[in-house]
Amino acid sequence: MTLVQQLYDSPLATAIRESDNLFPILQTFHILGTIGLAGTIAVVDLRLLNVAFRREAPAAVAESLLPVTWVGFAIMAISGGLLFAAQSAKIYGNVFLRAKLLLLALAIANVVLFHSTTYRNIRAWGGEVSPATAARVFALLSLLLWSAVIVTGRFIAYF
Amino acid sequence: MIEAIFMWLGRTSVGTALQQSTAGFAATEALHILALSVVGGSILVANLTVLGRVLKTTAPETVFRQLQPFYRGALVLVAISGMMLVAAGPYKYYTNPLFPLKLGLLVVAVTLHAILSRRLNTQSVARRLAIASLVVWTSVVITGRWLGLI
Repeated sequence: MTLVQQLYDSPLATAIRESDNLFPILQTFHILGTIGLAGTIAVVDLRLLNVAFRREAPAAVAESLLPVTWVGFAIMAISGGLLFAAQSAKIYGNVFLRAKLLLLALAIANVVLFHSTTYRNIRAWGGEVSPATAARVFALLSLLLWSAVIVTGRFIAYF
Repeated sequence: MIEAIFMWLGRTSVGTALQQSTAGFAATEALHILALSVVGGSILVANLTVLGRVLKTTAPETVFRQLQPFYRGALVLVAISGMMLVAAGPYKYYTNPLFPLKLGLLVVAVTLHAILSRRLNTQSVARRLAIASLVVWTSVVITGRWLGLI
């Protein structure tokens, strides 16, 4: 028996699948988590692109919102993992699920790469600074990748 | 009268196109979620600032002013994509008891945010409004998800 089938047949996945309300409850958490994660990331990206909070230091905006981003990410990861488990055997071949997971990996890689390179200098930038080109590229990629994750995620249910 | 508006939406070219296209419907839903992420994100950051949880070194007035264009623009997109979703299945929404509830909660949520943006100078009032705003906006999302189920 494959790993996906074992996950699908697990008591927790079966309970979610057989409940009337657990699936939409988890979906609701998944949407609220999206708001916490993507909403705060977008604000930081808009600062790095120099279109909002131009007078605030980029580091201050990023560091202040990071805990909210993490809470959103935790809610998304837990609810998303459970939603996947409940449907796993049926949807693991879904082209949009695979595209979403690939885009998610790229979005996370973009965060890790940004934080290990350009972000190291961010503390040196005070308020009213226009971020370096590299930071703007990371921010634009971030907005595009997280948007693509959301769009492909919505498409999973239909194909 | 209200029924006529719903049915008219369903007969528009956008409505008939979405009724025949799964990809078009999914794309409209995706736009709705993208836009609501921006609305929700702006509301979350704005209210958490009033509650002293984020952006502590920035004045709440500044945070509201900076987020306002994104909040408003995304709210327009939410409304347009939302009307397109109704056009794709007008009868389903016309008969759904959660639909007027969701719209009512949305009106309360938008109103609370507008009031809060004018009461930022009175901290005790602003904090209560921020908590109420977070609760009502969350309930808009919850009723929105349940709309599609019944």
